[in-house]
Amino acid sequence: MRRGLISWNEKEVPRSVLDQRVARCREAMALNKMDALLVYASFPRPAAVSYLANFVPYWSQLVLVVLPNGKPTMIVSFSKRVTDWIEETAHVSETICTPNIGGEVAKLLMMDESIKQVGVVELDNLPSMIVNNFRTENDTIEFVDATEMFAEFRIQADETEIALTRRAAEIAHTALALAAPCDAPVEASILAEIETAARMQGCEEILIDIAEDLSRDENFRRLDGPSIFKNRYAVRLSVAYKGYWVRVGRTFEQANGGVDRAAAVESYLAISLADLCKNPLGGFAALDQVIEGCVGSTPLKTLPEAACGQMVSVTQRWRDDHGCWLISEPVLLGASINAPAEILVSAG
Amino acid sequence: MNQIHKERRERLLSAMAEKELDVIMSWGNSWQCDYLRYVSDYSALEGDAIAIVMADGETHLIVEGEIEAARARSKCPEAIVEASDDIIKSTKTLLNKFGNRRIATAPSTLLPYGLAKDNLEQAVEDGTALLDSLLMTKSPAEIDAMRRCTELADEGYQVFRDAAKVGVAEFELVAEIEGYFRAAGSPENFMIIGTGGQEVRGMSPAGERRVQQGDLVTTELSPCVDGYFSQICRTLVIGEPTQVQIDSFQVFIDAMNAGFSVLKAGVTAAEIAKAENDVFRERGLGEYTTSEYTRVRGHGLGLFLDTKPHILEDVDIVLQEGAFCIVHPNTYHPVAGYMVLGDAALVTKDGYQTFSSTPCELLSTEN
Repeated sequence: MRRGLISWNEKEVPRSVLDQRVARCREAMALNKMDALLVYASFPRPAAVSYLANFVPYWSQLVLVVLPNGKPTMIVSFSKRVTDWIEETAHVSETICTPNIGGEVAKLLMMDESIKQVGVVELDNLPSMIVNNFRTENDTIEFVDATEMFAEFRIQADETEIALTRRAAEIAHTALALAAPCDAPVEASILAEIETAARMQGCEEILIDIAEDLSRDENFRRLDGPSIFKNRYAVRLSVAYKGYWVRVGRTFEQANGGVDRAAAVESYLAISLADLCKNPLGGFAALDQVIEGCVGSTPLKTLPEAACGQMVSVTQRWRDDHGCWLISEPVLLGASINAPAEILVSAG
Repeated sequence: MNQIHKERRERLLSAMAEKELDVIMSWGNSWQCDYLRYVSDYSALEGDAIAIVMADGETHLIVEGEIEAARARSKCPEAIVEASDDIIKSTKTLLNKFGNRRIATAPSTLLPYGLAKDNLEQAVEDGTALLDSLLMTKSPAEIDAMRRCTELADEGYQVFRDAAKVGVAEFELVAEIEGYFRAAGSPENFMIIGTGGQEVRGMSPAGERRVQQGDLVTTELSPCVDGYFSQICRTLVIGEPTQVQIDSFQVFIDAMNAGFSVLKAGVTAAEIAKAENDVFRERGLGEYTTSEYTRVRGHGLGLFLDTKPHILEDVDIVLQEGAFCIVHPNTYHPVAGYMVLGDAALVTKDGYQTFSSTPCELLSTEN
């Protein structure tokens, strides 16, 4: 729960962009015969609400209610003392503070008798108490799962998402550069410098995973204690900026020649990611690969396949005569299957 | 398995045996991970996670995605970890394999709807109270972790105090503290902040505002040691405090002391809250103890930083010996603005013990 900067700069996220997203959401609701849409958010699941209303919860949970008209309403289990802050950072018509989110959602929907069928993004993941409290107030409104509907209209990155994701990638690359080998052995204390550097640039969150000795273990892990990195090690940063997340990771070599090899790795990476849509396993033969993107409430969710025009973070594992290479990089996929993907920030 | 989790595991399996439970299933994520961590020693960093613990100790962890699964396998090598794109479906599949067993689930309020008892093929019972009783009363090893964490919070506050200078942006101040806690090995920290004067009504995540001369800078720092959170709340004046600020803060000192004066094993959360709030009421400030201006007058600490019991006048949970809580009468003061003061304490048979050494006074960059 280490949130850094959370604020709303309307130059970065114009109100008109949020309004357009809500309008597209309403078009999808109408097509799917939904009279309203409920979108849940909590600390680890902020992304669907931040996409529509710019709000990122640092704590607790909430439901955003999208009705056919007007700005969405947010029903939050925050105390009233933070209402001012919520309204400074969220694009909503009203914020209702209550410990009984489900009950308040029901009361709001019952004000319009025409509401019969309500979509819920990730219905199965909604906390039981919210559903139970809703049902205490109302047992006639029908819930339908709106996960796929939301994903379909959310999936294409717009200019705002691209710009903010690019900023997250820039912060991550700048901070990750601190992990590069130097004359002395690299120690885990560098992680604190990386964290501070990223936060000083205004990142909302940074998660750090390391593989401190690739000759022994090729998996990333959290490192909370001291450690000295071995000859070949990898560091991966998961960085959020204004609600948009990326993963940026690189493998480093202490020995001479690492710099030259790093340049080659960047070339391989560009080849591998360029036609990701057409060739999901990459033009370069990655041993394994995880493609993550945002299609709902989770900022980075493993995707079964990447879609054209989508913003994704790709994590790959390669092997050559030096050993294993662990790489993560955010990529904007081409608008069509034959269009090249764009790496947002060039390393170095 | 580390010693502290070994102790927890023994207590859990013993409690399960006493209730004749075959399986306990608990949910958690990076916001609220206490139930999950207690049974599995795992705290999810991203996404939700489910732990299923059998009566013989066999532990299954179902987490979202391969990246989180790699973290889980590293942290909990003895657990059977599954990376899932749909943890609800994966959990149901696993429960179905177990057949007809006696299953308890927790926490009842946050468990996903898809795993609620009406949506499962098996009969399940609510195990929240069972886990709450284990979570609220700390073992000696847990108390030691809480003590070390409180000391770390103290150290962190000193770093905060040194970094709070005119011109520094709120998010830059937070960056300094997070870097310090990372260097000290604290994997988590919950921190909110307020800067300004009488217009400030609460604390929030860091913004871009820059600290100014005369500001009240409020914060609560909540680092984590071995999974256990402690907390410190203090108010810092940038420059010399005004007499108005000093006078306003006295009610917070007196209220915190009043809360501590009744704290001992056997009291209810309500009694502590009433003692704190009475001080405000006696000075005509009772309105500022309500939910319009404040959330809680303290809370339990442990594997979650806001665990039971919430210190409120309508909470009748009895604090047992070995409980750990923070007493903090934080609220808005109509003259000076939002102010905070709070210390964490171990509840003992006859009173309490604090481990913090930061003075309980209105602090200033000038002293």
